[in-house]
Amino acid sequence: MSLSSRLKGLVNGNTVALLLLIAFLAIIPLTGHRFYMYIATLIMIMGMFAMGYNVLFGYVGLLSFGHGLFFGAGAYSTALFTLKVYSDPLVGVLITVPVALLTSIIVGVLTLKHGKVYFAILTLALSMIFWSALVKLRWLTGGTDGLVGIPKRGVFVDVSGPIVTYYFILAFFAVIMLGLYILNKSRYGLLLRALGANEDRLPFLGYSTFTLRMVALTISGTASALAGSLYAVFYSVVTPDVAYWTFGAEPLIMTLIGGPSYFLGPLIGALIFVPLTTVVARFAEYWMLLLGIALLAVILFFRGGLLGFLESLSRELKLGVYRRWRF
Amino acid sequence: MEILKVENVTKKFGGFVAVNNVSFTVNRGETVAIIGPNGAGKTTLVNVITKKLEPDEGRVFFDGFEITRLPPHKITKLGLVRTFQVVNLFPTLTVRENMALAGLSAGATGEVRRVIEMLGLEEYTDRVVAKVPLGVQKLVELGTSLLLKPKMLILDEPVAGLGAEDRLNMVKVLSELKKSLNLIIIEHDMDVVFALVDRIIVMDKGRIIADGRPEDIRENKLVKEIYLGGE
Repeated sequence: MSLSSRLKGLVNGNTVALLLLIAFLAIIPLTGHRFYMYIATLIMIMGMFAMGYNVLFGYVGLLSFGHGLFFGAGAYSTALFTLKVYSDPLVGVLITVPVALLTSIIVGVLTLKHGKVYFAILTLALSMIFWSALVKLRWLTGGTDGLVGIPKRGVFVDVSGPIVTYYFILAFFAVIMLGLYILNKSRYGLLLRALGANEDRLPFLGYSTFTLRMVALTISGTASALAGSLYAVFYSVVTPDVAYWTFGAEPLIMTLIGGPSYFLGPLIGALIFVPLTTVVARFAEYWMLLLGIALLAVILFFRGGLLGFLESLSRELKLGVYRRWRF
Repeated sequence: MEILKVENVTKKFGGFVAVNNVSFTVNRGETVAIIGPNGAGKTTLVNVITKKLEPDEGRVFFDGFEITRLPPHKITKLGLVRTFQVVNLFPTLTVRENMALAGLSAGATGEVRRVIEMLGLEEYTDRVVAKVPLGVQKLVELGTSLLLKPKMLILDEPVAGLGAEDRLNMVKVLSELKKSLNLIIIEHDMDVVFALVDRIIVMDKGRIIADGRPEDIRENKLVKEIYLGGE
């Protein structure tokens, strides 16, 4: 296949929406409004977390309750590395990649051979062990106080200003989103979707389902860990809360809100969830109750999330647009 | 020269012996049918050979290798490919994507279009498999199997559930395939069996009760009594 036809195959509604979103995020600092930048940064970080999560959940059909482990591993590896080894945020973020690969392999070996229900419980158990270790190993992790003063100024980059931090995170966001999009369109994306559609069939086509699941877990874990790493750079502080299982369930909530069968579903979920939790929580005393009701509504009446609802609507109105937004 | 050798294979489900000490060989170039009444153990035997199920006893050899302990994906890579009684595809993917997955596995992505054309599936290429007729799904499953470049293809009830036209079409395709491929066919339709195979193995209650040329099996008293009835 020629390069031009490959490029044509990559361009569709998802690419346009993704590029428009990145362009929109890029102009937010020009408004000079710090709060918008703050919300947009959190959307990028949590969007990366949820998009990474959905490689496992939406593509492969594996429910993880322990993704806080990956996010926490990324956040703490960046914090520890920049505080104790080499003070540079760029190297601190990049060091997350081998840490995430190693973490994914360990988690995969321990969890992937035991069926879907046990996978969910085992990932939960592993994340709780990791969280306990972060709390107890005070000499290394700072215990419940966490690690503070994560440097923003280093040899290669200086992200000490809020605008530079913003663009630093946006650059990683753009690279990860485009990487996940290329994965989605590649033969590996097709294999992962096949694994979710009918995993019993794949061995009879010559594929090892364990290997494919491991690949999915590694991609998912690495994207989640990078999100955690950028979270550490953004706040300059990490605490064990980021590895707690309730935090690890947030990408699941975002994915369900946006639509797990759609490439951009988790990111759309983050666009709704992050402002809801940061803005509404300030004013509404019972926001957790509101969130619970919203989740119930999504699961009972809008199983495909917001994009699933829009697809149904477009089918009713015979527009036939949104199906193209699926994986 | 043999391509498949099944040696004293037994498979039990609790106290029920589904396959009981079964042994047979298939020679290269042979097309074999396994027939028998429902519950005879035909599909269980194929499931054990292809490692969808673990055997309790016995050994299986394919193309000179013992495959008894190999996982299914490695058996497939050796060239022992199967289809399923109930169509087993990726229902949310398109016909082309289903075919592409097989092509990718065998390094035969360039062959996908040729196989789609050979099976006359052009008009269904971009349709989701769950929404195409059963006859088309059966052909897609056959197409994915062919893209895996098999040395032997095991077909579990290839014409079950098909209308007369699709049935004829499938027999025509299989008649062509048997010229270049070892086939094992599990089938209840005796017209299809007698039209296609060189040899018939008859099973009942987990055991082989007869094994021979179609004309001999047709006249076999025990087979007539248990399975063929007045045919």
